[in-house]
Amino acid sequence: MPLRKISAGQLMLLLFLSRIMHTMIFRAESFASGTPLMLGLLVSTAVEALLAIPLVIYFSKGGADPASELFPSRPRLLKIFYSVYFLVIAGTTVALFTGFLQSEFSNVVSPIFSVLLIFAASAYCASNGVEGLGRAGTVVFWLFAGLFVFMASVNEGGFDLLNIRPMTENDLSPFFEYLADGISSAWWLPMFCALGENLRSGAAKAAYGYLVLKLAVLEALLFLVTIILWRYVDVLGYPIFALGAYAKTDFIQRFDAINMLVWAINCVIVVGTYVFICTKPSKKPKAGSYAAAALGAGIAFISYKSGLRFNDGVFLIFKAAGVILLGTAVPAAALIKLGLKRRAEK
Amino acid sequence: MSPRLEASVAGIKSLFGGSSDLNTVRLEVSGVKCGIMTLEGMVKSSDLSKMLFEPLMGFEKKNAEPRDVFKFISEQAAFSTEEAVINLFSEAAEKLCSGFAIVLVHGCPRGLAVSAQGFASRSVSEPDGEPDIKGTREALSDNLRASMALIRRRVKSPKLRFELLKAGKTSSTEICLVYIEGKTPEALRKRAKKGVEAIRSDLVLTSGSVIPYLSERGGSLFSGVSTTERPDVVAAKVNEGRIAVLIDGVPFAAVCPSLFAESFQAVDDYADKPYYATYLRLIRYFAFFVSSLLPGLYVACAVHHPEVLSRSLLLNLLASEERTPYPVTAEMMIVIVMFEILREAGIRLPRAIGGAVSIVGGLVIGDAAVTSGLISAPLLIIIGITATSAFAVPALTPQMTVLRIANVLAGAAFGFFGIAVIGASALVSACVTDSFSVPYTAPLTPFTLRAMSDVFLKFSERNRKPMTVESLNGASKNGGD
Repeated sequence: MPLRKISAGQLMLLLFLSRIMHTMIFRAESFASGTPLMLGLLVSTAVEALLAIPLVIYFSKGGADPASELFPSRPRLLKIFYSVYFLVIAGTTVALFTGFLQSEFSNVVSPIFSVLLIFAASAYCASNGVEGLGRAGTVVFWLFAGLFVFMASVNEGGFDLLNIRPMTENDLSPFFEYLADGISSAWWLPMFCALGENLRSGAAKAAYGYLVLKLAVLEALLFLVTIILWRYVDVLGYPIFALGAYAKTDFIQRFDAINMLVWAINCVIVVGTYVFICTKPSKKPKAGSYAAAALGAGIAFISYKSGLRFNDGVFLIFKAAGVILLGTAVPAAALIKLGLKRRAEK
Repeated sequence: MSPRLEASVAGIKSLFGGSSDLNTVRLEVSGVKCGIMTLEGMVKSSDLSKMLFEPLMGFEKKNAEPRDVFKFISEQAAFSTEEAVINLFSEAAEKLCSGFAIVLVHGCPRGLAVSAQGFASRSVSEPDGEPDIKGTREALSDNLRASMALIRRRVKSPKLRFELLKAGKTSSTEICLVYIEGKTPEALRKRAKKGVEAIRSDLVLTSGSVIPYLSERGGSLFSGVSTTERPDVVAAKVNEGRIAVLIDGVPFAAVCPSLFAESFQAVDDYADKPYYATYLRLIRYFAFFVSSLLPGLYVACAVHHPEVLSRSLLLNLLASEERTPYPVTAEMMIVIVMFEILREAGIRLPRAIGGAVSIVGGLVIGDAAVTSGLISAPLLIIIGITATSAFAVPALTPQMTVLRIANVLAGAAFGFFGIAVIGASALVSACVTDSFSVPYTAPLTPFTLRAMSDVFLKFSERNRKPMTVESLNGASKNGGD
């Protein structure tokens, strides 16, 4: 069966949806100030741009799959590492989304059902291949954009530009915290690496397009959160979600549930992409996607019960290690090997 | 075939097992025994008489040999548009089933099949399933040749091709691929032909016997193959490089590849002003989402998310729901099932009675249910809007029905979260549906700007670019986003 491929734009939007999912379920427990956060995001994006150089060059130079490049006889070995990494990311994402549902819509769905439903739908999506996920991702992106524009146009919230404050010495600690969190949350790098073989062309366009889009949208959201909510975020919990509370029309009183509807669609698509990556070492992708989803559900339950968070110490190290090793070191090694191979061929 | 007339007749008769509709006429032509075999009702007697019997009776030759008679029949006597020499009993049986007359001459080890089809068939009628205001009033016919002629009349080009194939182990049904040479990619034609040749069914009686063999992935909610009974639609589609598949005995053509966006197009769009056509098209898109989502959203709001609705609306709904004995989900399911029953009854019953069913169902039962307090009035209004919306997009009726019920159940159990999970799965299901490598969701995703002049907006004919297979195929392969 020929390898199904997606365009650079579709990959860019899948990476963006994955990142925006992370931002949505980010629960602010101590919101110091918007400025270090915005600056942290800017600097972490610049670092990500540097970390992305090996993989962009590798795929731009015609490299197809770093795992096959490094271990031509046993590419599955390395792919298993990617699978495990994204299994944990998928499980934790669903656990955090379940936490969000329990926090904001406690009587709607029980944790067990939310985990099972998301993974069942994600397994179905992943079993149909990356093409469907890529195309659906585009639709979800525009759905988000439409919802955002609509909610902004009916927003009744006031704002105060004085909430934007210059950096002080006290902001250095949160700045470095946000920076570390931002870099460790750059699992788009290993994601790109794993999906690279499904990319038709335009690696640089996908990678740097994603960074520009992410920076623009997240900075805009952080700016809005800062000028509208500021320290109330500590009380409100999910800052991006709380922004929607100010939108209101005569017909729709509150946008919370509508917001959640779009977030849940996004969650299925994003987790579906993670599950798809997990099926890469499997010889039977359809069965593999359901097996991966079952494992992911198990991890999600454990994460949910243990109250694991993206920025908890151990998990922070796990995420960062994945970013550095699977997202930068592996493509860098593959690039060197590709270069040596090309030189030998000449 | 045997040189002996009686042996040949007996051979063919044995193939048909003495079927009583097999007729044999024996006659002598210049002293040589001949037989003409036909199937009752498959040939036109008057045509056969003029084409064959009259010239045969005029043939006189002293000491005529059987081969002289056969030569005369095959070269001078039979005034038919289609003739074929038959050497095998099986060939003779096949031709008889297709409405040919088989002429056998004693002493000749072969026969002659003469086309004299004259079976009764329905005349060309109006396209009742796809009515419109300004389009043609002719629909495809059960008769394959008549359907081919209807298409040919609209595409008067020698490049229009009809490729006849046979499918169905028992029925041996004629299937015709319709395409325009140079517009339809060769690979598409070959794959369609391969698909038809792969049909394993015994009988091919509906387009449903062919469509699965033209689709690439089974089990999807949506289909990359559509059906139409309009010859003008077939003509327009083949002009865009699609392939239409006509089936003998079926007044519908299967068209592939077919797109999601095409479900919202109507023939009248191309006759109306572009701004009005655009407006109608947007209404149809809206109707699709209303029909699929509205009952589910209503139930989800009533059960889990009352905070979404404004206070006055919420109080109205609460007041209505309080008077009914059933939970809102049960109420909704009862009304949906009732609506489906009424719709089925309306379709299956004769047209005169079908109208009465909708009056009894819609007005009498509906009014009585609300008055007696069994069903709330807002819920009935919701179903009324949903049902009316569904009629605006008939091409997607199965999908809307399934999504509607799934959304009601998911909305009742898990609120908007359940609807989101169903929505995401349906979205991916639509996005993975391909037909001959053309994505079903094109040109929306993957996005193709040059094909967008006929999707949401309908550009004027001067600026409209047809959604050709090549442009859509290119989008999926070369960077459509």
